[in-house]
Amino acid sequence: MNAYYRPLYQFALSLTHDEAEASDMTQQTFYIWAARGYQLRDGTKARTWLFTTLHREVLQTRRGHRRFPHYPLDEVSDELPCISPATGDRLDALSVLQALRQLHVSYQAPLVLFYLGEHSYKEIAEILDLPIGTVQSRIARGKIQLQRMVSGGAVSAMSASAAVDPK
Amino acid sequence: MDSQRAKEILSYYRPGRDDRADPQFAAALEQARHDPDLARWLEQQTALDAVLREKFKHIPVPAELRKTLLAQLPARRVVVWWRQSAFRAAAAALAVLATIASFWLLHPRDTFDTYRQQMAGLVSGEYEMILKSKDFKEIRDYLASQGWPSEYALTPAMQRLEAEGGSIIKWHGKKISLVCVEAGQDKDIFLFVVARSVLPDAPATESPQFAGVGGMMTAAWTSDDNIYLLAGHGSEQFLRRYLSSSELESP
Repeated sequence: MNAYYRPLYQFALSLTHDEAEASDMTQQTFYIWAARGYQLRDGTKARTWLFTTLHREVLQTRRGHRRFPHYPLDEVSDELPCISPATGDRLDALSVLQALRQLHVSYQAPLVLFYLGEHSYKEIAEILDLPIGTVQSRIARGKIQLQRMVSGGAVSAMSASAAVDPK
Repeated sequence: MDSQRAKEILSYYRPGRDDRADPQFAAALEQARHDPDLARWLEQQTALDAVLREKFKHIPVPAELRKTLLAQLPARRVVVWWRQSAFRAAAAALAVLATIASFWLLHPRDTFDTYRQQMAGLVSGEYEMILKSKDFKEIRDYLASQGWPSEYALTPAMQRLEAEGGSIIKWHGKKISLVCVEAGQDKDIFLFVVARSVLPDAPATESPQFAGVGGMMTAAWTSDDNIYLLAGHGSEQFLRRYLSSSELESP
C-alpha cells in the first residue's frame, strides 16, 4: 500500500478536484483491493489494477452526479475551489490542478497519468479503457490547453464552464 | 512526417520513460535531430514537462490518509498465498508429482532460496501483522506464547527503531516468526526468524548475504540456532543501515 497510495490519491484529486472525495475514492479503491485483489503478487499489475479501479469509481460517481446533481450552496455562490487552501506552499501544485480542472474531463485522466509517469502507455490505455492512439492524441491536445492556461496565468480567471470539448 | 506531426508525437514522448526505439518516437526524434526549430521546441517542451511533472508529483497528500487506509483494511491474518483456495487446488494436482520428484530431489521447496523468495513475496505488498505492537518485548512474548521462535536477537540498529508488530507463519510445516519494524518514511523492514535446522542449505555465516527478490532487498545470516532473513523495499545500502553492527544483541 505504501508504494501506491500517494500517486493514487494524486490521481483521484486530479480527477475529482475535491480532497474529501479523493480520499474517499482512494479508500474505496483499497477497500475493493482488500476484498478482491489481495492475491495480486505482481507489483506492476497491482498498480495498474488500483488505478483502473479508481478510475472506474470516479466514472461511476460522475454518472451518479449527473443523475443526482449535488451543488453545495457555498460552492455555487462563491465559486470557490473544493480544495481547501491549507497552506501557501501548496499553491503551485494546486494552480496546476486548477488549470487541469478547466479542461474537458476526457483530457484530464490521460494528462494526469502522463505527468505522474507511473505507467507505460499500454497500462494507461488499460486503465482508461481506451486505445493507445486515443490516449496519446488526448495527451497531445490536452497538454496544449493545459500549458496555455498555466503559462498565461489564466487559471484563476477561467470558470469551470469554459471546458473545451475534445475533438 | 511533417514538423507538426513530429511535434504531436514528441509532445507525449517521456524521455527516460518511453522507449526511444518505438518507431513513432524514433522517427520524430530523428527528425528533431535535423530540424533546429523542432529541436528547440522539444527542448522547451521537455523542460516544461519536467516542471509540470514535479508539480503533479507534489500534489499534497493528507497526512492522515495512510493511517486511515491502514485502519480500514481488515486485519490481515497470515494469508499465506500458497494456502489460498486457487493454490490449494493447484497444490493438490501437483502433490503426486511433488511426491515423485522428492525421490530425486531432496525437498527442493525447502531450500533457502525458495524460503527467501516466498518470505519476501509475502511482505512485498501490504501486510498487516497479526499482533500490532510497538513493544518488542510484547512481540517476543506473543511469539513465545504461540510456541514460535522467540529466542532471536535484533541488531542494535533495529532496536533503536519502533516495532510495528509480529506474526507467526507456518511454512511447509515449519515455524517462522516475523517481526515488523517501522523504518521511517513509510517504510517497514521485516525480520524472519527460523530454526537453523529447517534450512540446512542456508548460508552459515554471521555476515549478512544480500540478494534482491522482486522489488525487495533481502539480507540473510545465521547466528546461534537461528537463520535470519531481513527484507525491505530499498537498496542494499538501505538494509545495511539496520545491520550497522555485526554484533547481535537481545532486546
